[in-house]
Amino acid sequence: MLGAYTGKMLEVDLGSGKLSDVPLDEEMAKTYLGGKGLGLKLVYDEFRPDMQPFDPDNLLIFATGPATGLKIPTGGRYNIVCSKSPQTGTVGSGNSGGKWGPYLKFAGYDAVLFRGISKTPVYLNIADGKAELRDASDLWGLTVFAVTDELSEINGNPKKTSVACIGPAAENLIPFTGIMNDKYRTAGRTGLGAVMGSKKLKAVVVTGSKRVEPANPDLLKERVRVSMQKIRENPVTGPKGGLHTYGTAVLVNILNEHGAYPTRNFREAYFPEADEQSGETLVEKYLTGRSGCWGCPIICGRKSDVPEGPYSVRDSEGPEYETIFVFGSNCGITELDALIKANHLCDEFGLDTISMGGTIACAMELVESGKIPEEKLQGLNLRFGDVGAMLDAIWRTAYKAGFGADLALGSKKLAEKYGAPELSMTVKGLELPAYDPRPIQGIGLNYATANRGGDHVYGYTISPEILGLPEKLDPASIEDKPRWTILLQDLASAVNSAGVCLFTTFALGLPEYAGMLEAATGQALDADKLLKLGERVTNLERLMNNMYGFDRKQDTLPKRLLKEPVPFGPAKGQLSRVPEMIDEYYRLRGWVDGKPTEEKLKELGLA
Amino acid sequence: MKVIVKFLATIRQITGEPLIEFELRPGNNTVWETMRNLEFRYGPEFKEATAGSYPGGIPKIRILVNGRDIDFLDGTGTELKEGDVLVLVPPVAGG
Repeated sequence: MLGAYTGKMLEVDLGSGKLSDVPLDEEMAKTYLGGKGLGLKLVYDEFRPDMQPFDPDNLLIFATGPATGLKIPTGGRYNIVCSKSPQTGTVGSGNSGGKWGPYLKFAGYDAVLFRGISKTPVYLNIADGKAELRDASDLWGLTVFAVTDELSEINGNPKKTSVACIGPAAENLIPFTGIMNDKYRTAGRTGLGAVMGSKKLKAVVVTGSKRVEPANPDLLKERVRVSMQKIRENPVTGPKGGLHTYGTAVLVNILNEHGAYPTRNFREAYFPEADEQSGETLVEKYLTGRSGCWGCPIICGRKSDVPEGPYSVRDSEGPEYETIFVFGSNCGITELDALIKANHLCDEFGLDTISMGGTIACAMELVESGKIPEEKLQGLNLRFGDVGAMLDAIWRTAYKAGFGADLALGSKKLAEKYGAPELSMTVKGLELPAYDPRPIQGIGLNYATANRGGDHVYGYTISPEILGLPEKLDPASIEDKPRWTILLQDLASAVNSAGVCLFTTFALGLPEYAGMLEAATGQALDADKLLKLGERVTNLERLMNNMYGFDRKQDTLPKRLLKEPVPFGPAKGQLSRVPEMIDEYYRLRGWVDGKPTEEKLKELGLA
Repeated sequence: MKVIVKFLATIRQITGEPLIEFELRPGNNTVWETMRNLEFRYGPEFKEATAGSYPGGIPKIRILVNGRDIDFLDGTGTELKEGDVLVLVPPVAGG
């Protein structure tokens, strides 16, 4: 077997309760690396085009990459993939940090694959190679924080234990729920939590102490040294860098000053009060410390505390930039302490913050435009700027209480139900993240073409378009954006298959990743080969989505972003120009109408 | 002629204020001249944090004028007008 892998996967049939060790196929590891690529390949091998999200055969796969658990910077990540997302109808996927991925590996497995549905609530405990399903009847209904506390000490070694679990919202099959680990980390998007809830699987506990050996330790040490130096010297990722000092929330002011900070359900793109909810204000008023994932030198996580007032919440973590925008400007709300509270509630209940906030913002616009009759709201005063209603809406959604049952549909079905589908700011049913695509052309193309829907990290064109990394592109221009979007999408696919964090891409490039992975696994790798692997992963996901019926029709943006110019602010008058870029994107991809050609599939070894 | 200058992230730590209204003299109104005036006002620490590039070529700051990066205007030769908003952005990132 290659270095850096345990060589073993655990297969769990929740229907029968049978647990089996399965060898990791070496050829599969070479072709797909691990993480997202491995998860997608396992889904593909059992693909059924008629799959339903809560079908027992919907596979739920937790997969590490070769970097996970090694001394490779940010090697603390893992991916979760499911055959069918309850939110988008595409293949579902997400990735997370914390320490769960490394400890799965130290417990003896590269991946865990769940199939079937348990009759009663269970959790899986994996401790130093021994796996066991246990009754979780007493845990069903507990919040993420409570169940994590309950299970962290069951193996007598909490420091070497990590808990991934779902909250009550996922038990209630809300389609935009994540799988949480280490309390605050989440594979948040595409409703993986609901799939786990449908299987009556409350948690997966991992405890382990057996490190995995790289193929060439000395070479890896040297290549890690070079990469670490680049990370430390980089003004973004270094110890005094922007990410460590301010966290992702530093983007609030930057995007607002570009006129690309989505506001009031993307009606506007500039929020005059943005500085009051910025990363700078977070540091000044509520930051109590910083927290990092396993093996991470960047340490971008926030520890936050709101000691008093109507939105007080003690010893929390976050919020990230996305969460601030979505409950803040996008709901017309300024108060940062309320946004910390909203983030905390979503973490407790296991809700994806982007989709929760996007749905509330959509509902606020539906109410203000008279589409939702007052009596339907049952007293919930959903109007832009109403902090109390926004916070109320979160727990109501988690428990489908009152109007929460409608919010639990997500913005796409909610807007359809009330006769205004154009007010859902989604792509493929996934609520859009925190970058208005009207002034930033590449990110719009990325949203439109991302396989899992409205997704910024699928191909983070913000890096060159706004931040100027690795080089500055004009955000307003469409020139060369299809090529950049493809490059960044395939890079992300490779990074998410390796088990490292996308934030290292601010300091490292393909040669550094390929060099470290080559030393870790023993597989000959270079930049081109790694990018090709990323392209294979992107295309495999697209191929399965095609078989679910997705094609060119879904590769677009909400009408508002194509037809309604930004009304005021620095980007006044701008529109997304996705329709002008999409054909060139397909041509460069080797796709026709959103589908990889036979020739492209053969080139990538997918046909 | 007055312009607004906004300071983000680490630059704000140096200036101690998030924004200022700044008086420019006619004929002395390019971004380059404004930066020199700001260096005079905030001293060597400001200059150290804003001038030139880091190793690897990342500029110490990016400068926006009314939301547009000056790379896509006239660079540091971009002329400012009454009411323009100048934003100084150090290298930061997120996701």
